[in-house]
Amino acid sequence: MTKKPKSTSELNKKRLSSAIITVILCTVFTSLGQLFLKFGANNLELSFISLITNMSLILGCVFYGTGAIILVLALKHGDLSLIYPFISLSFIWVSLLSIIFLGESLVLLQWLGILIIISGVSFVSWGARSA
Amino acid sequence: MLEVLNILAIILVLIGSFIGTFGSLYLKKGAKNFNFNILEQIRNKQLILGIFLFVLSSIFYIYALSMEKLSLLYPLTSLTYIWVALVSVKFLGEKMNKPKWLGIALIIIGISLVTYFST
Repeated sequence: MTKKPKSTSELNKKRLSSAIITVILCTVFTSLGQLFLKFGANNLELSFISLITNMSLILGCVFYGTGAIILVLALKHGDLSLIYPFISLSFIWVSLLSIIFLGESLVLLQWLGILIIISGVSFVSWGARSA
Repeated sequence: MLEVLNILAIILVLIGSFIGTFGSLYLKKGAKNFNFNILEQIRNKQLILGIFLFVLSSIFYIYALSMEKLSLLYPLTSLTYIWVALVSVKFLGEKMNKPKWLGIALIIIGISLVTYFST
């Protein structure tokens, strides 16, 4: 039995899915970056020695930089009008990280906002698939 | 009533969001030739221009933040989602459709809710 050759639309959908997974990974990295920048900012002193020994600050920058590289990789394989809206997912990760690690809390309307962001990103991805 | 300083901060955020939009456009153009060869990438003009525009837009934004509350200014930055869709159509020949526009509208509403109620 021979394998059915994949149609171009099927290949496109696969490419689209991998671009989406890549940009989601990017938002996870930038959100972790924000968390560590926040940790670093908590004991920020503006002297050269304390800046280069502020491990949280450095780690935050490394996460941010890695996130930026991953974003360019996602842009390489997906349309800008598809990839860009996904950046909004970082709002969700930052909110969750702030609750877990910074003891912050969200009001009901903020949770509603998170649900609306998720539905928005789903619509964008659905629109890109049906195009 | 909005004071002069509020309006200035809002204008700065809007200018920043336009600059950031073109940053994304050039990151996308530069991404075409992206690889992990650093010597090649420092000559990837579109990528470098994209990064430069991003940094420039952040400077406008941070300056605006020194005048106005985050909970007001952050929702405004999400207008960038609309500008990016428009330049994707105009300069990259990408196609928008109703679900994509609806998604962007929902994202803006969601971001506004999350940030407006932040303390």
